[in-house]
Amino acid sequence: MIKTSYDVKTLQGMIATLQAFWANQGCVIVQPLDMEIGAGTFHPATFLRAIGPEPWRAAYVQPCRRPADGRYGDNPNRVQHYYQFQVTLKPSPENIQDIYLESLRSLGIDPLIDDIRFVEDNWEHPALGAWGLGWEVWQNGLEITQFTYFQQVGGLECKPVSGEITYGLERLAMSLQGIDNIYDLVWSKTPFGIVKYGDVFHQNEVEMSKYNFELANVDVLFKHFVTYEQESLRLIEAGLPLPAFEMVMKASHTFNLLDARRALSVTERQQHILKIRRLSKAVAESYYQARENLGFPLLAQENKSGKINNE
Amino acid sequence: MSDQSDFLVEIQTEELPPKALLRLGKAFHAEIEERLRKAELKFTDSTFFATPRRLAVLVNNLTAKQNDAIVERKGPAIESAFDKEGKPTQACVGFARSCGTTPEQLITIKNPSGSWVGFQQKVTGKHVQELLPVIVQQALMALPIPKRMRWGNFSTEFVRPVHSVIMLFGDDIIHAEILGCQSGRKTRGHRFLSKGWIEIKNPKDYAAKLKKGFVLADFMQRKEKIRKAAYAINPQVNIQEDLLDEVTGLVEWPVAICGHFDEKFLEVPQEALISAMQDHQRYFPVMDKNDRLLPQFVTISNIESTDEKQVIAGNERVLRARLADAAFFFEKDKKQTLESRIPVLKNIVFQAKLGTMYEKAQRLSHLAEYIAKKIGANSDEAKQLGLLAKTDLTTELVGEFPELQGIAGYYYAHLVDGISKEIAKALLEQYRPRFANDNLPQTSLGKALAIADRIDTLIGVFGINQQPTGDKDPFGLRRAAIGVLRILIEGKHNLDLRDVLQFALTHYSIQLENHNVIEDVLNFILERLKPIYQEQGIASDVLAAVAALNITIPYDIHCRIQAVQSFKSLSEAESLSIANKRVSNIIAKYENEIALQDIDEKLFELDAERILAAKLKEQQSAAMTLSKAAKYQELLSQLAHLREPVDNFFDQVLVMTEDKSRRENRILLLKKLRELFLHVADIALLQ
Repeated sequence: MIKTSYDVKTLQGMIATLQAFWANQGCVIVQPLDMEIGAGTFHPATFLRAIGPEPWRAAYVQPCRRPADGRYGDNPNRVQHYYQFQVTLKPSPENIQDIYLESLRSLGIDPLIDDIRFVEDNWEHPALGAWGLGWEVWQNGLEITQFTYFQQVGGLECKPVSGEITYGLERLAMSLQGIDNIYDLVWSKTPFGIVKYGDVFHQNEVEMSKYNFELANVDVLFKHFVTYEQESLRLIEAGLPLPAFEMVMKASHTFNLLDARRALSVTERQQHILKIRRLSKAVAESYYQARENLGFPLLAQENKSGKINNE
Repeated sequence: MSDQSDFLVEIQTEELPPKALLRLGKAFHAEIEERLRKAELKFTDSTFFATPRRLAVLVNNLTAKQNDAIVERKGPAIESAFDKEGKPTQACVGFARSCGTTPEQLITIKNPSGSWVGFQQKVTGKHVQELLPVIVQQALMALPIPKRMRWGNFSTEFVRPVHSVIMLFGDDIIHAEILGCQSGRKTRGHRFLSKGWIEIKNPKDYAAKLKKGFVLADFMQRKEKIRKAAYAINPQVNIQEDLLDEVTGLVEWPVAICGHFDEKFLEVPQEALISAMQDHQRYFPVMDKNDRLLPQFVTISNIESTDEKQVIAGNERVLRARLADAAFFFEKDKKQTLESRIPVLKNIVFQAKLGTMYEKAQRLSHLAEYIAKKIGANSDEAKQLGLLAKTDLTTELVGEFPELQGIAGYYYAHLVDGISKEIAKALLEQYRPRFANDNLPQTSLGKALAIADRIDTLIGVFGINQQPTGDKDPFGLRRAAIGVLRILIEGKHNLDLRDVLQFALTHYSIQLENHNVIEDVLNFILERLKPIYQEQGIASDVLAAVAALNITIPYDIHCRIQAVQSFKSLSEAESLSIANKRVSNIIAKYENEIALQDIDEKLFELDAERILAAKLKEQQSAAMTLSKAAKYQELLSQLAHLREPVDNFFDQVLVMTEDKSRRENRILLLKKLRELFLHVADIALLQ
């Protein structure tokens, strides 16, 4: 028997519920990007798809890595590896807030019990040449979601505007399960017993914190950064924005590792951010060009069917 | 439609920025009122509404239509408008054509200077149906919105996406397209408590209808309701006005709830806990009579929850996580002395061109030591504190709560480095005053550090030519300058700014682009005196009289200003000021030609000369003493006695006599008079 409703009091049940919900809203359920990134926004399904006129709806889980946030598994709220559930809707529908609130209801959150609020929080990512306006969504004072209307990406104006919804999965799960320590989260209830977040990730947090803060090879990382930057430039030159963007992401993660190692002097830090920004802008322009050369294929489909093709 | 009716406009949006909401509401109101007045549309009064999801303005008894007006246009003079036969000339026909009429329709305009052909036209006043859409559109365009956004496929821009627009004049809809919406009479109530559309029949019903939809639309009413509710649920709640405004901008249907946290967190500096509550969670802290934090908080939810316990539990859980974070950082930070953090300052930029905080700390150390010596603080302690001043920027606690800079330093200095609380307090006080009317540093070390920090920043930023322009002042230099002035003046410290700036400059190891930096900063700081004294009701001529002496000791300037201000109210002031002006003019003209070395009593001719000379002599030594003792007020009231001899002198003595040596003798006498006053100020500049 295949279950059609999931146990939202488990992390995996919650994810399954969100996927089902957003699939119903016409989102392409893509899979996580197989690279280290700091936020779901980096996934080409959000970042690159926000560029140009083509409509697009996607949702996916994305593991995120923020090396400097590691706490050796000691802090109940902070980890260097965590999950986001990312939704991107382009153009942003008029009732996007209502749809989002519906998704909360699907998780068993009742806005007549809980105090749900949209609190101004604007988003800016200088290295991606991107910014947007929106909110963090509060559930009884807890930030459970980032909600952003993209205005610019890679230095390009967003026309149409993408609406980005990013759920912090661990936080949301902690709230749904009424738990104070991330490692106590119920990941799944299996016939062999309950599997907790700590069972899955605690060792990872301890070891990765040690690597990020103490053992990451700084000399090698510096060399990698240079290589990724050069490769990205070479690939942009060759008119291949997608592999060029992969190099940007690698460069960005390398930068984050160097930062966690505190290996960057202040001026170096700024220079590296500027390098990534230059690359992101070049990739964005190159991607736009490439889509235009293809005749913005998703636009054509929309015209044919009168709605987004999400097969 | 009747002659006058109430007008309502509502822009219903997605959640607006809470900190900006009140300003937006007021601005929308003001922009609409201003445009109604410009359009000469009369109304009795008006009011505004602002909630997270709407901006609205209600105008009472707005006239339905502008008055008709008669407009006259003047054409060519009669003599050139008609030829001898009385036929219209080319000029006349042309004028008529430009008015869209024929010469027969023109009138004659007569006045004492001549006669002209003219054209008279009745302009019918426009109806509000036509005027209001434009007025509202323009008002919206004029709102102070730092960043406008677009949404969906639209090119419309506003603070947040717009969902509906009400435009009602009496019972009638004013049809218009506003921010991409067709205007109507429908709006939404509370996001969760209200269902479906709310229809507004008449503008008068607006607030009441919304209240039924669980929305308190009036900002001020909502604010006061929150205040009351917060006190009702916990009388010891501590409410900051700006936070209250922000919270008012976050809710449409406020419900106060009270939560608790574990007492063990009270071991963490309470500023950190308060910061976590106020700045991060928008909670109101609860304090006892002695301003000590209690383990409780009040928060304002936006819902009458069907299960309030869950709302409380949720909020308590969030706060627990935040406080646990703060406690964790606090404990971790305590493992390292501030002193051992000095080298870590190399990782923090002060300003790209000006190097790191490490270099700033070195400069601060020297500068604080120097200032401490001048203002009677312990200079060795100042030297040490200068090095430590910015070390708390490297702590995890400040990393998490940037607003705790200084406060964290204070705690760690006495808890970890073992510096006495009294001395450590300077680390906290270095940032004061943070805003207008904020408290000044109380300890002399705090003052030394506060002045040093600001002077160093002023020199650096002016040095790289990034001084404030217009309303752009990213480094807060105006505030810094005012801070320096307030500390020196209110603390009665005779510190010479020029010396301090000179000293600060010599400790900048990098070459600053601006070679005129000392003068630029001096002028900039002293320029701030104007608004300070203007606020105290001291006229600018008083300031100018003192400024003419080019003194660079703010407290000394202050004392002189006070003296001149009170001198100005004396009956003798006007006449003495005029006398000084005359003297000043004479001296300016002849000073360089005078051959005579000193006043020669034998050259006096009249008693008025002799008496004035004697009086001046009498005053001279007293003036020296009083001036040295900075007793300027006393000095000026002494000099006021000179009025009579001075007046007599000018009445009876001709300064510009033919006799060269007598003339010069008189000019020298007047110069003495002027020099006496210049001990305090150039009172010739009084108006």
